[in-house]
Amino acid sequence: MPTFRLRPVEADPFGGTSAGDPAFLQCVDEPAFINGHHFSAGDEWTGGILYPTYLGISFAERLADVPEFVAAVEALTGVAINLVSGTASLALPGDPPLLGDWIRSGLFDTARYGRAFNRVLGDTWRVVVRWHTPGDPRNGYDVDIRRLRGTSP
Amino acid sequence: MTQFESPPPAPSWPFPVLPPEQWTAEHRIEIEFLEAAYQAGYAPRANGMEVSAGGWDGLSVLLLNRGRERGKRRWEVILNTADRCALRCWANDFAAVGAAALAWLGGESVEAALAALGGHIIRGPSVWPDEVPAVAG
Repeated sequence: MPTFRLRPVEADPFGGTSAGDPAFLQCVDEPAFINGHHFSAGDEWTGGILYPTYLGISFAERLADVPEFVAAVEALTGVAINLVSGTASLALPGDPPLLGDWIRSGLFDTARYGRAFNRVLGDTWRVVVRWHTPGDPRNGYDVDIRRLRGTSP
Repeated sequence: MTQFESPPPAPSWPFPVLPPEQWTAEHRIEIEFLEAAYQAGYAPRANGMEVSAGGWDGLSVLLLNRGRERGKRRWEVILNTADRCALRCWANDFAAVGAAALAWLGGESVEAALAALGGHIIRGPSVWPDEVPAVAG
């Protein structure tokens, strides 16, 4: 199981939650170990915030590891996560593609990504993609990954 | 919320926050930005993963939380006009990000926004006309 450093709101020296809104439970970014690999300064990993009803993540990179990230957050917090949500960006010119680019080009396979969640977390997971701003790709895509409890593919 | 509903939209500022004595330096900077944007009439919204606001003549900003790197919060900065994206970059200092956003929303130029971001840009910038158009396809 990957190990992640959780940042309780009260103890976060950087203020992990926007404006200190007490509605947020935890900030769960900057893990120390993933799959036994120690990520040192300069390594990158998706960040996230655990809200009372869902896990918000950044979808910045390491997309393939997000299911394990979710599993780790569940294990460490004891909170059952039924919804993972975030905004997928378009890469800057010259940078490697990000999730938003795969969605835009039609290459992102939502069913396959849902199966990746199933393999790690069980149940069926449905992936829903929509423009962050309706009709406008400039601001990327909202991606919701929802657990259908008690189901299997 | 049931498991089938989408997350709620980011709440509009002002909303309840931690007592000031519990604010961190980062909280204070974010709150100062939200308050400044609110007072200027830009209707800011924030939920931890993103901050957004809209200004005059269709100007808008979207600031996306992109996790941390080397202990510093990363923000994707998107400055839009009504019909095009004027600037995108990633930066690692919300004070600079907020200053750039307020400059943009106040009608200042992309160059002014870039100057506000200063040395805090960690990816990009990408500036119009290299940016994506407002309407797909």
